[in-house]
Amino acid sequence: MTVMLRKALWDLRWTAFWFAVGGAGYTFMVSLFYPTIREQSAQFTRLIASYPKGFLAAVGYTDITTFTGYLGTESLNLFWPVIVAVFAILAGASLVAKEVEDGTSEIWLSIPAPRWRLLLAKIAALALALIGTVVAGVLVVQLSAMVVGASVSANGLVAMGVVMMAFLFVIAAYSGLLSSLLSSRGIAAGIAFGITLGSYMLWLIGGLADQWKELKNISIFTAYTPQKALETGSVDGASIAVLVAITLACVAASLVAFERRDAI
Amino acid sequence: MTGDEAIISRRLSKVYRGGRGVFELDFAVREGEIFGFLGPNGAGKTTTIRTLMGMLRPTGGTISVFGLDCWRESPSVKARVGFVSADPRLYEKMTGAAFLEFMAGFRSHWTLERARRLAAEFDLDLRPKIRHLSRGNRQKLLLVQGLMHDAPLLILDEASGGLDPLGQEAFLTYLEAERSRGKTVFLSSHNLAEVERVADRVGIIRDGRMVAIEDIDKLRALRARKMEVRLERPIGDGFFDGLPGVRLAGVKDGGRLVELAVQGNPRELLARLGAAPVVDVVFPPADLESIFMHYYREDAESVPSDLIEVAGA
Repeated sequence: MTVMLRKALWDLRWTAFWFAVGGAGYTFMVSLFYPTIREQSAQFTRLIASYPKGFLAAVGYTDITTFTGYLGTESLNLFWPVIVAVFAILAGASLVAKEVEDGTSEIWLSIPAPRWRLLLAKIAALALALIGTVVAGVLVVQLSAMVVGASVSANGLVAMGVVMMAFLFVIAAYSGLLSSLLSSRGIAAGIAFGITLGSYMLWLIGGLADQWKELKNISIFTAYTPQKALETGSVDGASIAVLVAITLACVAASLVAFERRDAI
Repeated sequence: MTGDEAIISRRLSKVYRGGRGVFELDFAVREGEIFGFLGPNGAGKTTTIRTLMGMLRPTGGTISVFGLDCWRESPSVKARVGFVSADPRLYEKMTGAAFLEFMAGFRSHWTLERARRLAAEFDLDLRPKIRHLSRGNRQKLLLVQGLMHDAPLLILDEASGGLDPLGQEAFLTYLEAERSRGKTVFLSSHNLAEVERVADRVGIIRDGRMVAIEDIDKLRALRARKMEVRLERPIGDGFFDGLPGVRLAGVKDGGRLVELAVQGNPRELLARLGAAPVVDVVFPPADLESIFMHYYREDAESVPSDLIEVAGA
């Protein structure tokens, strides 16, 4: 198990590094504009008030006059998760399908260990890589706050990290399930992108009018509230529990599917 | 069956969508023998091996290794098998040494030591990354990986493909040595010469069905061998009449070159030739190729029942 885990982590190292740097780097870069926004907050607030409500909802706008509101609008609510979700989908879709596509599945499956353990080691490595990506995101929020003279609480950072992690885990988990069921990385990733986009659209449409608000209840984006977590220092336990439950169900289904399928 | 079989396949079927696959394969491989598994591309050799390795789930029948079911007890089966895949694609970014270390990590601690010895025997440099290795060196790496576990059963799928003549010689010599150590080898190949050299028995698969299983010597004896007799002067057409197992296949060069098909013991034929004005005789050993082709001719008739040794019979 540890041999497989080590190899899987080694395989992921550069991809995880660059996506973590991308997400964190983007967040840090936009945070540097916050002092300017803060100084001219009245003008920006007036300008933004003229934008359509749907557009503001789509880009995750809340309030740009506070540091957390600004960072949420410019990065945490939409752009950071888009960047790292791409990583979660691509890495999840590669778990099994990449071995099949690369022609290495015969060697991989000649290892004298149960298939579920081989896959679980890869899933664990992906989880560690995602945790690393989230930790980079959390640390850069702290760093940004220090640079622009704002403050964020330790509880807020931890709560935000939990929300980010649960969100990324669920995306990686259904991508991984698709990878266990299919032999094509492209198809698995394509379907996972479709599910993520569809979930985002449900969340967006659900927020536009009261008669559609129920749609938000079937979107994973409803549970993704990093800005709120950062501000309040707490998480919505029920929402996180739902994401964790979906993640565990997808992981269990992946292991069962991989045990039972023809693996070539 | 005698109870000392390393592999037993009972009515094993693996049928893919579209109807291809292997169908009701019955065979057994005895412990300590080299079993040649012959067939052209697409005949079902690799499908059979993948079911043996628990990579494919049989759609019917069972296949077991040392009494362990290859699907349900796959990890235990793999622990007893050294496997060499026909596919030379490996983890490209690893060096040969890192790859062997990774694969050895799932086995006992001395596996890696043996791997290094084998690499030296096969003249394989383990330092370059796999993506920089030639086809032949990749194959050597696969071989070292398959052999380093010192497993009691070797399952080799086109294992010598891509090896140069020296590498092939080292490979076959190694197999013979392993047999003398009591190892069992399941050698899938379409290289007839290598199978002929080392195998004790062969199974011939055609269109997913086992068409013959026989000791290699018996198989040879069952086939007619070609004999060319060069004469000083022509002899009468009826000269070879009445000889058991001898058939006149052709007469050339104005009757001075006679081609005969000879099946079985040639003693009586040689005695009669003593009375003929013979200049030269060419009588090559029975080759597996002619036997193999017999089963693969489009118009091949049904297989003689005495050539099929069914597991459990």
